Amino acid sequence: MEVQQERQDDRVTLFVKGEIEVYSLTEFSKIAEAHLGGPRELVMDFEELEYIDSSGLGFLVTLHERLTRQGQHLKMINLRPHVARVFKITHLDRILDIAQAQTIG
Amino acid sequence: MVDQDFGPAEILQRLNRFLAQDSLRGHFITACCLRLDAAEGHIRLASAGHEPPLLLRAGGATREVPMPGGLPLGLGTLVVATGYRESEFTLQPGERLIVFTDGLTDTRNEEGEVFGSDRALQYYAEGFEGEEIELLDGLYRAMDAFRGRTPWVDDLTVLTLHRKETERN
Repeated sequence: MEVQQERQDDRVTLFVKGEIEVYSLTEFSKIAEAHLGGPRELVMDFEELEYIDSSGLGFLVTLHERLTRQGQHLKMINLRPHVARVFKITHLDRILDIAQAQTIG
Repeated sequence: MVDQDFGPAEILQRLNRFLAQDSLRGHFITACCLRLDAAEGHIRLASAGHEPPLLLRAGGATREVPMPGGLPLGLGTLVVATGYRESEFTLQPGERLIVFTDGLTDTRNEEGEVFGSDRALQYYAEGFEGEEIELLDGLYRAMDAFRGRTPWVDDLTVLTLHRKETERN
């Protein structure tokens, strides 16, 4: 897994490449949690995310809760169809802010 | 809960309320609860974020069983009043219902492709008419061949219900 970060005004975008699963979650959570209490919006660009497992989904739900408590917003964009399917099957797309394709300007 | 005659949706709702008493620390549970009237083949089912079961019709046609569904169990405060809904249908003579965990859909090959419900549907669509144990063994072998040298990433549970053609006396 590789993560590149881009800051623009009050928004940080994480470009995630590879896989978020039990083995890479510690590293990924450290990178994401560093923005708690930071920018108004944290965007995860999943265009190059190939796979996410249930531990990754659980982390995103918890992160969403923690960010919301601090007045921040978590958003996921550019999901590949099979990654989007996981959010749809679990119905987590009802509680998380997910956009299939979006250009952040 | 089954003794008290609760339906599948009510069982999931009660389990969820029970689990919400403690934080699962970022973990959650997906579940599919179904109630079968064995004499009539009538099934009521509810899902908490679980993979939709597959329905294998006599002759080999397959499809996913549409489920209204709900969020996984154990998400605590996030799942307040959303609740769970049920769907119902009748398993016709000769049909099979296949319920499985995400170990089936998430198993990947050396190219990183997932086995997915599409491949499971394709496997069943070949119209295998053997006994349940042979069908499950065949599925396991198909998945094992698919993954190649890639390790299993998850546990795998598959439950099959088959309503036989022969009517019972």
